[in-house]
Amino acid sequence: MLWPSHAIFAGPFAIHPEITNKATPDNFKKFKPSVGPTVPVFTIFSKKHAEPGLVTADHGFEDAPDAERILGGINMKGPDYAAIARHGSFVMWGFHGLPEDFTDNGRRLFLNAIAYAHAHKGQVVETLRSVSSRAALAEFFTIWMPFYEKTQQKNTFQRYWTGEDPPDSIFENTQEALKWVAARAPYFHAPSTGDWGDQFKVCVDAQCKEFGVGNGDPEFPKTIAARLAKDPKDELAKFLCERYFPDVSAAEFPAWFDKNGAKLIFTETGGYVWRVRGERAHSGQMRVKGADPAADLVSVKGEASDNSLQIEVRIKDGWHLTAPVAKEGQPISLNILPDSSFAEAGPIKCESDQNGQLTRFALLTLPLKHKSSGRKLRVEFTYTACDAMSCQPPKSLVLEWN
Amino acid sequence: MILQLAIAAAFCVLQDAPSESRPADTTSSRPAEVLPLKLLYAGNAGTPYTASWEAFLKQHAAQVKVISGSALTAAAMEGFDVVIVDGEVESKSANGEPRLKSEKIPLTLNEAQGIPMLMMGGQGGFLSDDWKLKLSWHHG
Repeated sequence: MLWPSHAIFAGPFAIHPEITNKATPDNFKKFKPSVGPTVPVFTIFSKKHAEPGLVTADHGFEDAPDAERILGGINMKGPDYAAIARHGSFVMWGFHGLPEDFTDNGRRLFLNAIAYAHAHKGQVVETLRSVSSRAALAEFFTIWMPFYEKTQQKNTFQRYWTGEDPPDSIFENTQEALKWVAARAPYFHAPSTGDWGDQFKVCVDAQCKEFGVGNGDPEFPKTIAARLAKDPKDELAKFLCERYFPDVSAAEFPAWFDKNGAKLIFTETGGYVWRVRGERAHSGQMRVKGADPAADLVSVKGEASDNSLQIEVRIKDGWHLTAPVAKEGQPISLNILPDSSFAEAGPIKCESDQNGQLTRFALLTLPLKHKSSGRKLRVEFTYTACDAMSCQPPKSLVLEWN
Repeated sequence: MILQLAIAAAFCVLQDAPSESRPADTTSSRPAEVLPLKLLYAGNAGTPYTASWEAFLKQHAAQVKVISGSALTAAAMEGFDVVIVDGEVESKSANGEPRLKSEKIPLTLNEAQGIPMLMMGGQGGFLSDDWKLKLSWHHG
């Protein structure tokens, strides 16, 4: 993927790459059988750095207009993977090396990438990449399946698939698999179960299938609006409205659609939902207050959604925390602060060892329910870190989402 | 599929490419290439790798400040035109096993929306993963 006509090559420092043709790497052929015998390349760094760079997948990348792929690279994945790309005001520079090893064109391209980020000041990320795209599910069969042992293929597919049990025959015949995916793809949906293991999975939305219009079809919002305008109590239309239009209620949908219909975009990777162009993505990432990364024995990351809170806890080797269900010790606690618009909808879920201890890595999940409108959540996480001999004083952190 | 880490060898493998593979001209004859921008570089503080990038950026930008990634907050970004997130992410454990390390940048997506940033290499990938960007490493 090389587009010398892209603005990043034009300035502020003009680049005139001397393009040569390189024999296509074998892995490119696996990812994209239609790729030719050679790929056009030019050199960014004159020396190879010990640490490799980074590329990101093409599938689902441009499903919404807040992102663009700009340049690929010789990499271990496919020819359409991007090494330079933009999402909102963030520009990815996937190449890794030392600046003294830049070629003249590499140096200019790097400086242009900085300028390109600056030129996109104020542009926001509108859609995230949090679940598998329709194309990614098909790619499992065309690209990824051969990388796995026969006995592991179905289990591996089910990391990305939930609901209907896939027939064994699709793991034997790629064409049959692609037909199986294609028949279901218009109705793919990302179930937000709140379980960590389900976060990348998609399934068939039975209600959408019953509706008869694919969820990403431009007719989908039009049909929902028409049905709700005709009958505001249309249960199926109300259900689908809630599922696929997170920014509006069913009662307000017809008027909202009149106002925003021309600006709607559908994102697969952002959760199979419709959003209004130009609006910020709903990030579930929580801010952590009170942490001291240099001194703390425990580090945490929080992610919230409308129905759950998930906290990743990393504990230094030799230390442990105590699970909420433990009968001894000082268990961890999660306390939703009163100014939040959420309340607990169930107990904390986490896996501990037989002694009720959490070591190294733990994932805490707390089911949530709305107690008022809005998305404000403040949670106090309290833990006591202990080793075999003693315990540290309890420590509290506050995680915030709004 | 999606969760596998993507490691790119990049274009730099082409040792035998024609003139493009020569190191950059570092003599004073090179035309000035200076961005009229204030850059904040958030990387691994105190490493030779960061020192190289600091020296390079100071040649090519109006102003450069270097901080560690773990110090990158909304307040730290104030007054800068572009924030660069970088760092070496490969390390080895005590018994020599390869490991990935992150600067654990505390900044959230909501705090950074609309701010021009350059996400470099693996550390940029880690931050993109945290923010669920399309530039993410998880999806590489």
